[in-house]
Amino acid sequence: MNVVVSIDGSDDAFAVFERAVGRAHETGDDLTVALVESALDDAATVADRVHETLSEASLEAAIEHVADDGELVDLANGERFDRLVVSGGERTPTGKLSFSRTTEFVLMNANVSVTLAR
Amino acid sequence: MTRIYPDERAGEFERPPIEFTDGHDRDIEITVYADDDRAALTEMYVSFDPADRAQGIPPTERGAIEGWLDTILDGSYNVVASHGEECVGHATLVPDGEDAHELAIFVLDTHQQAGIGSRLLTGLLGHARAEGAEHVWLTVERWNTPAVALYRKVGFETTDTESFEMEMSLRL
Repeated sequence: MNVVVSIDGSDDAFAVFERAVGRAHETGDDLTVALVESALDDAATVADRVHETLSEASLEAAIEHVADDGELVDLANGERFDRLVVSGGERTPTGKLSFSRTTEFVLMNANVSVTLAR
Repeated sequence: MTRIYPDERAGEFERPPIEFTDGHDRDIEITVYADDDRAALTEMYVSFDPADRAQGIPPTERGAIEGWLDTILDGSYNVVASHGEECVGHATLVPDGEDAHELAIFVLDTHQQAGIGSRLLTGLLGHARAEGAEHVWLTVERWNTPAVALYRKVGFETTDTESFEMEMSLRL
């Protein structure tokens, strides 16, 4: 399976990426990492961390730079991918699931399967 | 997340205990939740119709229900509706860590559309105001027009309509 995992500015996006790396190891999925530049303060530093994590895991993955959520969805909707993994799905104080604007945008516009990871 | 609240405080609310006859001639009592009510409350959620779940709550499995109740009952304001020994409704205001409380109301499917949710809501708001709560917010599915109408009637105002869920707030 060809999986694209996005890294945006959210707190747990990097943890979600690390889990995707672990999973790709087990499943043999082809992994692509999409850096959402509009959501990142310092995309270059994040890219360095991504390279570091990939080399520690001895995993090869393509890194794509996308400008915003729209380009992320365009990338995921392309023929190369079967699944998009994004961080998302917080809980409110009463325990309700809530989605960020980004997550809602992705859920409404992606044509591929979307996995929300926390 | 910073929320907007109405400038005006909401009107007066009745305070529990509240006894009334519901729309199906059943005697219902609304009281402030006490630890003694926990077993009956858990049983209510165990028999809760999964079709009435909203945004992932309440959980469906007993262990998950117990864990969820442990979390939300800690430091929150709660009232329950009882029909005899049976708990048939629950309303809660859970602190959000930002000097405000999130509201949620649950009524067992056998006791819906009988006016119980409305009295749970006003009874909870009356209780929480007496205890010092001031800011209340909630999210509701936009197409749930009966619920939205009820919230508006007691003074909630819409603060966010852009998301899947509509957000409303009230100042006590």
